[in-house]
Amino acid sequence: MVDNNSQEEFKGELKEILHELFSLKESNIASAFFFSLILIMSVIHTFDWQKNYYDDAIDAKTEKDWSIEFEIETLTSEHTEVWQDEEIKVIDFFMEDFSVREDYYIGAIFITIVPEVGDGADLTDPLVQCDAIAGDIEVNDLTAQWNYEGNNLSGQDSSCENIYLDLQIYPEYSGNNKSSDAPNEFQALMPWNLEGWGKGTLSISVELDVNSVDQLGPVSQDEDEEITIIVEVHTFNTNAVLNN
Amino acid sequence: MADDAVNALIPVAAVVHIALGVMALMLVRRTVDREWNEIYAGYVISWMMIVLGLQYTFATLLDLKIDNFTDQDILNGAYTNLFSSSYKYSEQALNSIFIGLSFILPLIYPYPLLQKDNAIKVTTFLVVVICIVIIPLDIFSDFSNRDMKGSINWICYLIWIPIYLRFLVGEMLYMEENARTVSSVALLLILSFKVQWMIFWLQNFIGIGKVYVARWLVEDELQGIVSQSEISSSIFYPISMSLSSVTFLILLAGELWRAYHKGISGLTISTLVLSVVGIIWFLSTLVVMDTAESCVESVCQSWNKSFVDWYAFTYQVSIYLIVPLIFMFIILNYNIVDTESQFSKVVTRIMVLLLLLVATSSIIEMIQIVLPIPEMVTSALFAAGVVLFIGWEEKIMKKMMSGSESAVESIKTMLPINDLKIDDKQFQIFSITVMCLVIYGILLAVLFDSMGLNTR
Repeated sequence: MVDNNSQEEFKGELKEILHELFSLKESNIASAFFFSLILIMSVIHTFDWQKNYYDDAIDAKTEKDWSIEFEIETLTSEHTEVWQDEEIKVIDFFMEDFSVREDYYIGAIFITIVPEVGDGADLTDPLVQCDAIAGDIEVNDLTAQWNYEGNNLSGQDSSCENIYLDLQIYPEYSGNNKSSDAPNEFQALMPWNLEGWGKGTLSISVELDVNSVDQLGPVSQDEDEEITIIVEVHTFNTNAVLNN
Repeated sequence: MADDAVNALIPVAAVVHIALGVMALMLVRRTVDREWNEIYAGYVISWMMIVLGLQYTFATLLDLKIDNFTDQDILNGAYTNLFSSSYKYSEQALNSIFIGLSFILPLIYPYPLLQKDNAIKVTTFLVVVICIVIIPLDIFSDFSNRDMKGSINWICYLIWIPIYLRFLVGEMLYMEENARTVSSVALLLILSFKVQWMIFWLQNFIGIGKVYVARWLVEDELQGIVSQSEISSSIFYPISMSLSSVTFLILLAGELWRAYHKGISGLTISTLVLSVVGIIWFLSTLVVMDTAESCVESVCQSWNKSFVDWYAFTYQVSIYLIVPLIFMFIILNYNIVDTESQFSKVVTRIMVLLLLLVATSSIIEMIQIVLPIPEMVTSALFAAGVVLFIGWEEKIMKKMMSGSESAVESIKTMLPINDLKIDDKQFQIFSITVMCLVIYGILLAVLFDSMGLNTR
């Protein structure tokens, strides 16, 4: 119990307060032990951190020069159908039908439209005239780089040549090796591990305009053509190699 | 640590902290017949809860934005940009205000180290200076000195541990009757400030917890945000580890000593539970050591899902539920506010029910994340909890009120305390000052963001 004298003499000075707080020998010893232990542990942990952790962590986050190497695997799908004169057909390729391997990503899609090969004259097309074919990749919900300037989304031909179209799917993908400044392999590969690209349906619109020789009579009327669409899906996996 | 469990409690914590803080403030404003430092502690704790609630509100907004990011957004720097946004600035500004407030509480409660008439003016001035300096400095330095900033409230260890030991020894060796009230409130205050550190006590004591800090240094770089500065991570973090772990060991030893002679109390059990959590954390760290080291050693590997759930369960429950629970317990059980008037009784009941129900539902929710329990079962459990709390609410209240003891009155029977008469206006000025600091913090955050500070 606090006696009246000590209460009256108490002025609330910091010195008096600390004196009261540290008035018990046993608690002072415990407090001294507490502060000493903190001091010792702090010194140990600080040195341990500097010696065993900090330098390694800094090294791990310092940027280095990496080569990104692409392993490319091509998946192919083919569709052949007969077009009538002036017919426009849209052929859908469902991307989930392509069996993309685990850890592989779709980089780009290359489409080849192959007209019927004229191997000689016949009754319907005695002069072996080439038909006019126009092909387009239709812009839709397929997750791709639709605005990429290097895309070739339309093509046409009337000289029996193949029509080539292509669509960039993965950002920055070219199929060629690249270099990267990154602190570690994980970060170097991070831009090449994005999920979600190449999901949806690839729609290819093809229009046929038959060229035939009217003067030879109705028998010689060529009214249709078999067209083949070959879709090549380029998938890739990446490795990062540290350049010395 | 992308997982459903991570940050699941932040929105709940934001609402609970603000609601409880406002209600506690209403109670403390109506409290008259208490010692000046008890009323002041009531104000400080209420404002700390409100500020924490606001901080968690901004954290929730940040979390919502991050949830909507695609991989491509992150690659385009959206995460990095968010780190330099007004949301992040506001969150950290409020954290700075919380740290400022937590600096002054040990100076005035339970045993006031400042016992002059100007105590409130001095402490208010200290909060203002800390906040005015720290908020912009923290933003300018891209939060790269987080542990250095956190060192401001190390004062709680340095003051409350000697107080705890003084009154524990007083009770055990000098038979001071009311000493337990003071040592228990000191223990609870330390836990309310640092429980989120103390659940890692063993790994921090031994030092293997540093493996996480090393990983964060690399991860921050990967995410495009500024990692902790060398001085902050090399000096202040190891000291924080030592302080929290040694403090917990002292508290554990103290409580076991007391339990040996006086029997087990609720606080003994709480401390033992924390010690077990700390041991499990140490063992978990050993198990995930390869993953923890992966960023530094080779390539960052993702955390195991169970480990993430364990982290979310222990860390989130401690910081978002245990902390307000302890604050409320201190305010109500240590007679800081008047709970006798009709109005106070109603508010107190709302507070107790709100806290208990939110805590129950949140813990059930967290358990559901960890264990595959059907929603029907958890809903039934929650309903049972509601019925239990409503039925027992009066008994809980009565027990809490009748068992409440004033820590300051207890100190007065053992140590002299300067009997100060503080004008109520000083408390009002303190409240207005904190409100102004909140506005100052958010204003700076919005202003700096609009000026494009730290834009990468």
